[in-house]
Amino acid sequence: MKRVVGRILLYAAVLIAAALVAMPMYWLVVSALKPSSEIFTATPRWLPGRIEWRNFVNAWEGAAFGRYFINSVGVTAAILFLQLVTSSLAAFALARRRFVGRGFILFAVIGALIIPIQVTFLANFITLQHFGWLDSYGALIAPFAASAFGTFLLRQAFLAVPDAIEDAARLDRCTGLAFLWHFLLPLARPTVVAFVLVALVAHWNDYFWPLIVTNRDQIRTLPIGLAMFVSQEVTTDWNLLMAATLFVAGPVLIVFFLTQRYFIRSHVNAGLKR
Amino acid sequence: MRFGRVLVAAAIAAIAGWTIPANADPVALSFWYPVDVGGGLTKIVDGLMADFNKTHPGIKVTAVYTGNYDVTLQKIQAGKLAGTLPDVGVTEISSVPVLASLGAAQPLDTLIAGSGGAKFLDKFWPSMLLNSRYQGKVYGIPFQRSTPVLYYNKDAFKEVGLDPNKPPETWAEMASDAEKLTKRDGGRVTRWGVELPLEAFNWFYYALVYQNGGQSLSADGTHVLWDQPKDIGALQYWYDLVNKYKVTPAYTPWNDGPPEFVAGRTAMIWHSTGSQSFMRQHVKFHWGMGRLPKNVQFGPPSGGANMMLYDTDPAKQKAAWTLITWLSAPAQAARWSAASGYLATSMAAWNEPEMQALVKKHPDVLVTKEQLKDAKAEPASPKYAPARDILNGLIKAVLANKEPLVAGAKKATAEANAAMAQ
Amino acid sequence: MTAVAAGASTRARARLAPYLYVLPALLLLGLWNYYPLVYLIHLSLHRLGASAPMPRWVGLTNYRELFANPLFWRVLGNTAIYTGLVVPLSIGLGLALALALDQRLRGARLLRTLLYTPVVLPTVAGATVALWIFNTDYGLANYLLGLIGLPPIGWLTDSEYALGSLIAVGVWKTFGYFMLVYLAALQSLPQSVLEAARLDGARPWDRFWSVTWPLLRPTTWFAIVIALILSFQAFDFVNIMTQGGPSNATNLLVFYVYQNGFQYFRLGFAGAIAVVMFVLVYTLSGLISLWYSR
Repeated sequence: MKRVVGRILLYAAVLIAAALVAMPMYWLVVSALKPSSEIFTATPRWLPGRIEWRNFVNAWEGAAFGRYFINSVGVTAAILFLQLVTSSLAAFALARRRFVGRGFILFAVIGALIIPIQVTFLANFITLQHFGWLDSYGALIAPFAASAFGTFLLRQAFLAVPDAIEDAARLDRCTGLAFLWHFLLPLARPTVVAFVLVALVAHWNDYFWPLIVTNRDQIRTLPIGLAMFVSQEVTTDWNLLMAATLFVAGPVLIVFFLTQRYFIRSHVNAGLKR
Repeated sequence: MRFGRVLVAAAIAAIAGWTIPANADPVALSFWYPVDVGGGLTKIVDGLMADFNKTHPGIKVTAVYTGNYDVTLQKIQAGKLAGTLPDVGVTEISSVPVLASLGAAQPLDTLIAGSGGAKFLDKFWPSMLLNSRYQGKVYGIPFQRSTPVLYYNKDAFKEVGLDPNKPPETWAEMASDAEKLTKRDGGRVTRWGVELPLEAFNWFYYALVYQNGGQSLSADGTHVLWDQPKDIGALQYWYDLVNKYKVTPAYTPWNDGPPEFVAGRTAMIWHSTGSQSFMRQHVKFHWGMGRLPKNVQFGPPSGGANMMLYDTDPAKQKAAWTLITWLSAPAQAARWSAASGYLATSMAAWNEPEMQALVKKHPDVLVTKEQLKDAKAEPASPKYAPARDILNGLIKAVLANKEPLVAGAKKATAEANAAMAQ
Repeated sequence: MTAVAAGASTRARARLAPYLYVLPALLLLGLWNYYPLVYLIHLSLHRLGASAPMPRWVGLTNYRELFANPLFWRVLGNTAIYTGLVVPLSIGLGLALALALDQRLRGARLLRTLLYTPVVLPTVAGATVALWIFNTDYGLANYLLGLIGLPPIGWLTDSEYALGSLIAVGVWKTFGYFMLVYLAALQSLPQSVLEAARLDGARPWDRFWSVTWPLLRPTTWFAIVIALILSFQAFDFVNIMTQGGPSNATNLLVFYVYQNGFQYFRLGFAGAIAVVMFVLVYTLSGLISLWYSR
């Protein structure tokens, strides 16, 4: 009996948490579908009385979302590729090789984790200017070519690979980069996926940096389209704003739902070993 | 061998490139602007620039949307450090001293002299030039300008027995009309008498101070005067609307204002002329526009953004100046104003067909023009930005009864003066 | 070439290889993360910006002004409250839900996905939705309060509630991550130890504290470090939702740096704030690591 009560309470608690999480997302979608007349009502409506698909058309026309979408995909893909290369190389050395200065380098990598962009961006802006890269894809990509977080996560995953595997690989003359490519990365695939998704969200989402370093509309990314709707002097059209928010959030959410089963398994290695 | 040939070809191309006379290439200009684009204003700017490029074959302008007022200002400040300034930038009017003292914006006096000198400037509404100068030199040319007006619900006026064609003209009338217009259901207000929404630039505080005959910033721009009797009086009136008459909410965020008015949650509201198009689209009752009220005088504050020039190279300066003068000419000013809801910057612009058509359709628009003769400057000085935020905090705290008015104003004044001295 | 020499060169290459592997990452992190830090320290000893178009050496003046500024202490207090609540709340909630979902609930997979969604939702999107929900007049939050007969609250406009609202959003956005991290850790705990404890007849609560919690310590260390880093996301929330207001009630260190550096263009002063913020975060991370390796 006590067990049953406990179980019911458990369900109730989890469902309340789920409702709290789901509500804002439901509200995002519903608001994007409402006509303006239903946005500003004293009692909000749970369902749109009339579905206003034009919100999406109007929001889409408010900024060059098509172009932004392509740019977002390209920039994010380039960042992820570079981060994977630089992080897996560094993580490989840090996890599986002994060398003088390793501890210090590891410390430096972890230390870089806690340097937020609000601190770095002025200096980086000036650096990019010296390179002549401002207002180019380079400015959107280069500062994120290495990832302290990725290096750290992959190192954790590579550490977990038993030495016996490396010894066996060595007998097959599979050493160095070949070992990294044929053994470590496949074995750490869940962590790689977890990292890719975290990085994908972070860079897909970034809007402050792109707004500062870009001037040409042709190279701007999706969140700038959203920034265009956050107005200064004229009233916010919440339904359009929510529709634009969906343009930005939609692709990430779709990727997440498609990969989630894989993704969730991937946390097993994160942070278990030091 | 082949490599050598390529090298020679490249060298020839390079030399040829050098020897092509420079005037064959159009001068490339960048134009940064911060308008809100929910209403599709980027398209209007793009259209203007396309026409400019068509009619000026020697110049090619690229217009760049640079985010809101604050982000645009930040981009230009950072651009000054990195050496990446635009040729022409549109920024909020109080940024004139900020960008001029930094050496980013360039003085325009020589260029103005070449375009007719005082005659050129006299075309603009005098009040629109109040925020254009720094240390005696002209830096800013009016572009996307606005001023606050009173929007009022004529049906609500009729309902409570007020004359729907006579919006309040004085502080006293404003308070008494608002009392009549406020509707309560038990303890809860279902309709406010009047709302004074607050944004980061503290527009309505300045309005009240001017209406009360005061100044909020010393003439040399070095210290604020919020603890002076007229400033205290201004804040006291606002406090009374909120806490004595109870006809105004303590805080209405800027963007919430117009929807509140549309939904009938407030019978009157002070808001930007820039909100007219939103009102026209959404309001379902009879409404009108009036001047902001006076106490000892009328005193609507100026607002919006000016164009400034950032080139030091004479050839570029000349091209940029051509763009600035073209955009501020009556035909373009009228086109921009009619489409955007920003104010036409020159008197002549009101005679252009677009503006005539607008006046015919919405005669109320004349109120915005009439008000311009009383308009006052927006407080500005190179290091005013932190003071602006301190004032914003003071207003919110006092109106919400979290800080006593006089003591709070004294403390904020000291804090702001210290910040501006830093 | 003799065999000995060949062996030596292979060994030399093997010794060099790790350095080559870490080089790209290290150079890039050095350029984009550490150089800015050096630049900031340099800046913090100068006047640059609104009051000086060219850098001017001022020694420790910026630090003196910072420590004398009451707003700095207020911001520090806000940050302590924000971080001090968001970190344990998001980790705690994550752990609690992980323990619940670990009980093989029906629909656990669906719930897990749902609870994780805010983590992948872009911060900008999350902040924009939160802004709409917390709208005083038309927001969902006040409507729900009205349903249970409570008066509306100025979630983001009243200085008494605004920081709390930001904390709620911060927890909402991040707890799902810790839930998954703990869930993964729970599922990989040695079953034999847990079984032994169960056979001992220990009650679930005692079993958790005496067996599970100690075993989860590495995970908790990891979670705290990540939570601290994620708490920088507060910048996006503050920037979009409150701009540090009302009356600085939600001004946090990350925003304060930005506000002084880019809104007020006081670069030297902002540099000093950033350096102080840095020292604090490093000290905190050091303390956490000390606790972990205790």
